[in-house]
Amino acid sequence: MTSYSVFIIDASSRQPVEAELLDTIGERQLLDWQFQWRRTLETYLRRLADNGVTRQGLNWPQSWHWDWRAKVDEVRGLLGHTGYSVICRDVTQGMMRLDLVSRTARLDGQAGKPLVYIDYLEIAPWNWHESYADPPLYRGIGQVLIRTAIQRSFDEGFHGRVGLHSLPQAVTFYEHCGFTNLGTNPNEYRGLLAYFEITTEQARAFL
Amino acid sequence: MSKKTMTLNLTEAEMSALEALCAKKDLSKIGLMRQALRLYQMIDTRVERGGKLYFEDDQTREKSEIMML
Repeated sequence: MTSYSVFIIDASSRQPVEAELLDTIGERQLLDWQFQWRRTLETYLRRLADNGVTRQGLNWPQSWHWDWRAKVDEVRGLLGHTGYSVICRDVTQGMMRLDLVSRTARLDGQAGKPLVYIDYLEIAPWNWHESYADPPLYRGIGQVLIRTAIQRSFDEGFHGRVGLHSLPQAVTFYEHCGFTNLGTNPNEYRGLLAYFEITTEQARAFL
Repeated sequence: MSKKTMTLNLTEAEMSALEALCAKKDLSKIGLMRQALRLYQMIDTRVERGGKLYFEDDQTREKSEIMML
């Protein structure tokens, strides 16, 4: 396991704060998810339900059912998958699972070439910037993880190419990161998730 | 991460195939071998778990199973 120093933003002071980027999702991160992320998420879901929002509602967090332990177990030991986590003040603030092998690029000019595919990316619920949530503690965690995926793509010789399917609630984030939105496909994820991809040039601009 | 080194002896045909794939996929030889190992391991694991590997014709939807040896 390797640890890197990164900076995220303390949302209240708007000052950079040092955090740790780990090239793994370990048991400690899964315990944080299980006992801290989910507790905050449950508070938010109760709040939404109390306000009459249902699971089909636009505000209902679309990653609410994600089970990070299952996602990590599913690919444990596989060379083509890896994970990253961001830790700040001894608590996991974000996690990402990558697929390095089973997807290829789709954009004209790079179609068929290997890329880093982001299987899942999520930040801790207390960092969400949502109307039903408490004010976020930290910002910039998603950007750190996207930068990590892009850097991994360069390190793998994939020239910065990164792809992902986005939950509808995260579309704006990936557009702001410079990804190209290739839209939805009725044969993928029931046509609900748009596919995004970043080229070498877009990746360099993001870094 | 510590790394190990190995020497790989390939026939002319194997080297030609490797170089052609490297050009097509925009990868170095090392990168391509690494991808091949990842893919082989992933498929082998999925098949061992009871999965089947198919190619499906986009037009006819006809499926042909790939046998892993």
